[in-house]
Order: sequence, then C-alpha cells, then structure tokens
Amino acid sequence: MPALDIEALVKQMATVASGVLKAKWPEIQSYANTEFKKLGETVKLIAEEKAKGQISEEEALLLLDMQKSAMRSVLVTSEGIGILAAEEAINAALGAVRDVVNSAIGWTLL
Amino acid sequence: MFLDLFQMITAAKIQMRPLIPNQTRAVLLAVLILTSGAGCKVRLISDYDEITDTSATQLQKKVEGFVHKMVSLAGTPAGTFTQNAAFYDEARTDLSAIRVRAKAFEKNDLTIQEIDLVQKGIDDLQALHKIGGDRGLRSAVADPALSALNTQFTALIKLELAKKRGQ
Repeated sequence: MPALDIEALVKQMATVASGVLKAKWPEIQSYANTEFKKLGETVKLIAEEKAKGQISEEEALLLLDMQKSAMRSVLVTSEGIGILAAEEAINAALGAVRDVVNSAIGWTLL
Repeated sequence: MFLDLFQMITAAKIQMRPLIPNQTRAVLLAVLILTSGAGCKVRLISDYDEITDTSATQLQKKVEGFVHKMVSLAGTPAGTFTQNAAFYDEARTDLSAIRVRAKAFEKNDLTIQEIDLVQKGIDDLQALHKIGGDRGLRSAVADPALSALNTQFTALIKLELAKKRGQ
C-alpha cells in the first residue's frame, strides 16, 4: 500500500477548491453590482417625480423599500450561489484526491 | 488507518507542538466529517425542484400581466385597488403554495427567504395601489415597483436553477 502524504493531499485539495471559487466570484459580484446601480436609479426617479409634484413621500418610501428588498433578494441568491460554489469546490477537492486516498487506505472512503 | 490518524490528530492537539500544523488539521477534520458517508458527494443546499421553478415563473407572468393591465387602466374606476383587490389575495395564495412546497425540502432555507421577500414585494405593490386611490397604479410608480419585483422573481428562479449543479 503506497504511503499517504497528508500535507500534499491537503495542498492539492486547497488548490482545486480555490480555483473553483475564483471562477464563481465574478458572476456573483456583477449580479450584486447591477442591483446597487438600480437603487441609485430609483432614488433619481423619486427626485424627478417629487420635483414634478407627482409622487408622495409615502409612495417614495414604498418604492425605496421595494428596491431594498430586491437588493436583499439578490444578496440571498449570491449567498446561495456562494454556498453552491463552496459545495462544488469541496467535491472537486475530494474528487482530486479520491483515487490516491482510496488506494492508499485500501477501502473506498471517498 | 483513518482512526489512527484521527487519534494522532487529537493527541497532537494536547501537546504543545502539534505534529501537523493547525490549518492542515482543520482541513483534515473537515474532510473526515464531510465524508463520513463513504462515496457520498457533499450537499450543502437542497436539490433543484422543477415545480418551484415553473410555479415562480408562472406567478411572475401573472404579476407582470396584472401590473401592465393596471397601468393601462390607471385613472379609470376599473383600475382602482378596490376593483382589483382579489388579485392580491390570489397572488398571496399562489405564493403560499410555493412556500409550503419549498419548506418540504431540507436545506432549502435560502429559497424560503427569497419567497418571503417576494411576498413583501407584493404587499408593497398592494400598498402602492391603495395609496393611488382614483389614480390607481400609474406608470411612474408601477414601473419601478415592477422592476423591483421582477428582480426578486429572477433572484428566486436563479437560485433554483443554480441548484441544477450543471445537470
């Protein structure tokens, strides 16, 4: 049975995992940034409508609240995508060392 | 051998100078815990559910269709909240059905959070419609409201699709 180099295994898993996570981050970041811009646009719209006397304070507060809820929704999804990326990273890391570990131990552990 | 390794790690924690560096031990312990089911993949979030996906998509269409109709009827008696209150009850019921189903899945808390946020969005839309009075849901208010609600529906559906995990 071949000897297990634990340090090398851990390094390999960490390298594979971080590669997966880096690939996912741009998608999450751009999705969140789009919604931050929309909040700015909502504020601008409210200012324009107020200047025309076309919107009440109550309506303005509701619209802003809706946009804040929308941002929360985006961040929840970003969190979910992050968790899925972590899951993928973990499974990729385990997959990378599966054969080495299973053959070194002699049991199908991974 | 893994048991020996685990005992070695535990013993090493007690000693002043650990045999394996802290970070390495933490990763090893995490691997041991996560792989306690031999041959299993790790699952941190529930699986994709087609019914949640299609139900959310259908409700989004219903809400958007309603808002466009109200904008076209704004300023008329047919466009007031009083004449259209039933829509909000229906939407609430549809969303509740999606939530009840989502709760039946394990590790589905984020989807339930998304659904609750959509519910809040619909409640806010209803409040805007009421405030409009005789003006109903006019475009200046309805457009940003619908945009925010669509963002929420997209977020909910996007999360559900992501659970497909490349299937």
